[in-house]
Amino acid sequence: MSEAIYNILQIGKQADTTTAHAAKVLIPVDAGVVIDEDRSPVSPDEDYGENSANQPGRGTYGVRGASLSVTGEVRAEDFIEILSMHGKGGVTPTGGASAYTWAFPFDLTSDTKQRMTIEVGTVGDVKDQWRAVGCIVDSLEFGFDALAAPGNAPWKFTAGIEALYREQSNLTAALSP
Amino acid sequence: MTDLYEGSTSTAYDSLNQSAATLKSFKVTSVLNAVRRIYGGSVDYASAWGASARKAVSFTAELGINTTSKADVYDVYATAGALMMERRWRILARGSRLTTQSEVQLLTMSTAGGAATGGTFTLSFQGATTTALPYNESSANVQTALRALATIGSPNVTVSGSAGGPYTVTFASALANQPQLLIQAQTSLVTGPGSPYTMAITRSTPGGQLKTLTIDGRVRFHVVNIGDIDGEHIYTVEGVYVKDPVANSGTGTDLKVSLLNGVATQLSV
Repeated sequence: MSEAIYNILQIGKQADTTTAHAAKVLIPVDAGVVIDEDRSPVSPDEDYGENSANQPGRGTYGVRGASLSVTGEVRAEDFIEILSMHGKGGVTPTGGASAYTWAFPFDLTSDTKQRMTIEVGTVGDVKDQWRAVGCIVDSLEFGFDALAAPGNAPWKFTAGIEALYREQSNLTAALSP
Repeated sequence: MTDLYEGSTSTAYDSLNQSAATLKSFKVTSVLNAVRRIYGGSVDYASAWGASARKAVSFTAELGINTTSKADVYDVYATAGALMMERRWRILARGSRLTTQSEVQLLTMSTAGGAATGGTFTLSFQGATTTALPYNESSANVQTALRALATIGSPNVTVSGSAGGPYTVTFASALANQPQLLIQAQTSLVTGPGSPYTMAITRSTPGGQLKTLTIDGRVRFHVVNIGDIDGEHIYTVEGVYVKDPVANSGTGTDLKVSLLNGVATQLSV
């Protein structure tokens, strides 16, 4: 079977904060990605399998959100999508075909992060295909290791991602190897 | 291939001679500390997060410096001790591909214990599997079998090599100049004195296009370690990206990311 079966991560750009969007691109990741639910420590047994905000009157009980951690090597252009979830969304590049430039604010306080829908799971097993909706990148490390001959410097990243909720959802098939 | 550019006060950068300063490694750490708001209604649900205060963007890096030709970083350590030094840096590193090139994979049947003498094997790519191929199949027939896969198609791959391998698989046409998943092999039905046989599949040429990512910003750093590796001084520095720290900081106040030789590939809704 494909080497990528456990390494699927697909993202789609949401038009708003809460509405899931079908994935448009694949991002290579080092290992399988699992979307964890953030369960209330107060009443962990009260789990409706979805965000507690959908349970009127339940306050912070139950499941409060979802998170996932992703590590991988990406192409340079893939970084723009990741940075749009972390630095600022909707940044329009300047320049031309020889060099596009995106400028992201340093203060990182802008509330205009681009929300993405992230799809993960096992190809061929629809019971193990999930998506996280409303994702932003909360913590981001990126860079490259010390160079070794012949001198390639692949960019690496580790992203801690926060999502509104997770749900079972089939992978967008056209992107799935 | 990684370069470090440095300039103190203007938007024009002085390129450090690569023989004088090379960037060995680099890592930026940025944290939002996003905080979920207390839920209780659809409005809170929609807004979802708050982020408090301005966050620091920190970094660590290793620099190879020839101190006789570029003293700036050396001075931080030798004369200023742990004092923070401020520079404007442009970090430039290529992506994982040196040139635009098509992926080449090498398929080699194991020979330990003796070469295969019978049986069949199959190849898979992105979930599609070929028909059974004799252990000593010709490269032309392997090519035909791979092109018959729905996940490859014709004429998107070429195969060369001797009958029985090693086979050199080159992706072409619609699959040219792109990174590809590794082909997988199933060899349990191959027979011979060296049974069980395996087929090693290696990526001899990674597919892709030259892309360069540049990070441009003003940094404040200090040296935390110094070492000698093969006669080259390696300085480990750490610091933060800063925004308008002093009046003469120039105009480079944001984290700027440039993509050279690329296209504006941001997702559309």
